Amino acid sequence: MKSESLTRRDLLIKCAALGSLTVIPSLSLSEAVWAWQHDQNARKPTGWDEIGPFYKRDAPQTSQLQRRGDPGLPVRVAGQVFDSRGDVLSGAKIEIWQADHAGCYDLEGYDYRAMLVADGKGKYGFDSVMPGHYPGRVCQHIHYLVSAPGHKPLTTQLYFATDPVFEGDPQRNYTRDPLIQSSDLVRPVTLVGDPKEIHASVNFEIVLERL
Amino acid sequence: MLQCRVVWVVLAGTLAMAAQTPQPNAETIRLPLPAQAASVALSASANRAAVVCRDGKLRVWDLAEARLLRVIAFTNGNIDYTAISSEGRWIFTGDHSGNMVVWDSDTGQAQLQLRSPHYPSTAAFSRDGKWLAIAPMGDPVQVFDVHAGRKLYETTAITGGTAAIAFSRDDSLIVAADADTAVRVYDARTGKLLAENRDFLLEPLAVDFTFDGKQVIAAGADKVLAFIDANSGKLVRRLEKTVEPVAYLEVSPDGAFVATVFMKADNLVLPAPVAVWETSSGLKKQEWLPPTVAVGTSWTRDGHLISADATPDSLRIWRIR
Repeated sequence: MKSESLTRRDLLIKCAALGSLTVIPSLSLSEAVWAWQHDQNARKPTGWDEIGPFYKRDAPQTSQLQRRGDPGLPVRVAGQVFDSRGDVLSGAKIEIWQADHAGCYDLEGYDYRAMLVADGKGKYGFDSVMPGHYPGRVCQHIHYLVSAPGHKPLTTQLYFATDPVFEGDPQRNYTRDPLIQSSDLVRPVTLVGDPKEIHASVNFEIVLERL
Repeated sequence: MLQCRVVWVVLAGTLAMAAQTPQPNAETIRLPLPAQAASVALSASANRAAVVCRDGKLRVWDLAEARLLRVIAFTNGNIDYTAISSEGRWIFTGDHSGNMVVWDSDTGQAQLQLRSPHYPSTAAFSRDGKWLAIAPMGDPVQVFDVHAGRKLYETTAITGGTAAIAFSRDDSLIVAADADTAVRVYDARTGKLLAENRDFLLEPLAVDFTFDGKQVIAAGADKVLAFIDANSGKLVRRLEKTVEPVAYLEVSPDGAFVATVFMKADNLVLPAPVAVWETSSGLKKQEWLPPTVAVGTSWTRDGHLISADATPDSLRIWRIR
């Protein structure tokens, strides 16, 4: 008779299925499984995604991408940058670029493009608008290029769990966009603020691999 | 040369067109397909087309006779990139899982099978068809000996990877349009970096060498064609700003012209023009808007430019010049 022993991964998944394990919003189940299987402080490297055709170097250093009067749902994206041992990466360089509310990239200037530097606690954040759906791509997304000395540069993209493409179930439907390599890149979106000035809030933690 | 002239007469006859010779911007041939073409490569000799369809099959067509030569079924039909060698014998296909194969279109057998963590961004055969340069998405350029079936070398890693690769006419140099916005020239035998240009602000997406191999022509999201010295990497000249980004470019066999295929930056699914520029003057000589997005464009050996677009049940080949 085949013996049935549960691995730690199986146990976590069963617990999650039974509702006896709650994963904090900024941590996906696969990330929690990964952390359990490795050192207590270790973090799973952020998944890779392609850089796309519209990267532009020398973006301005600013955390304010949305200009007054720009249409679209305001979104505040924040997070921390770590290495895969769990150490904070202060000074990490984070380049971001995205389409505007209408789904258009600015190729002539630097609208919705910025360079950020993680602070002493590895934290970063920026204010923008929810990017529109870019024709030819399936999902709304924000591009990231993250680098830090001694670490492998990361190109990736941030996606939003509220994207209608996922129909409320990004774990199941993330492959509807063939460029999304992992559901970990699809982040929960929280609506905050008073009804007159509501905005979206997203946490996106970045973990770089050491060289 | 004679062969290609015959090609056009045969193609015209196949369609029972009134004219003996196809006119510019005329549809010259329509290849029936059971499923829409997803990825297309035209051989420089224009004798063969490699067409990957949404039914997961690679179809190899002889364009001279409008004849289907071979059908190859994939286990995974999600093909991201297709390339064909100049003489049409070798066909590269790469799928979204990172499975890459070089097919011998004469036999239908796999000559080289590779596996990469990432799907291919671009690939190009050397002019003599002996080497294949592949850039998996986000990874360094890797060069393989097609006959020996072995990897020769890979270039230094570039953040974001490479969008386009081309060999010089004598196969001594490789140029890469890189995602970090640089254009880099390598020794094709060793992979040693020879020159680098950093004049682009946005990503260059298309590259080729001039006829003599002394200059590189590069273009991309900056919407300008730049001529770069292949030895020093220094900018030699820029042409006038274009309306849309350049997605592909190819220098004509005699070096007198360069063809550019544009992309609609605001909507990739809409058709964008194909244009022909005179390399000496830098003047645009011709522009043509395909009915749907151009899925393949190539010069023929006798200096004609052909382009393909896809309908749900056919591939249409157009003569642009």
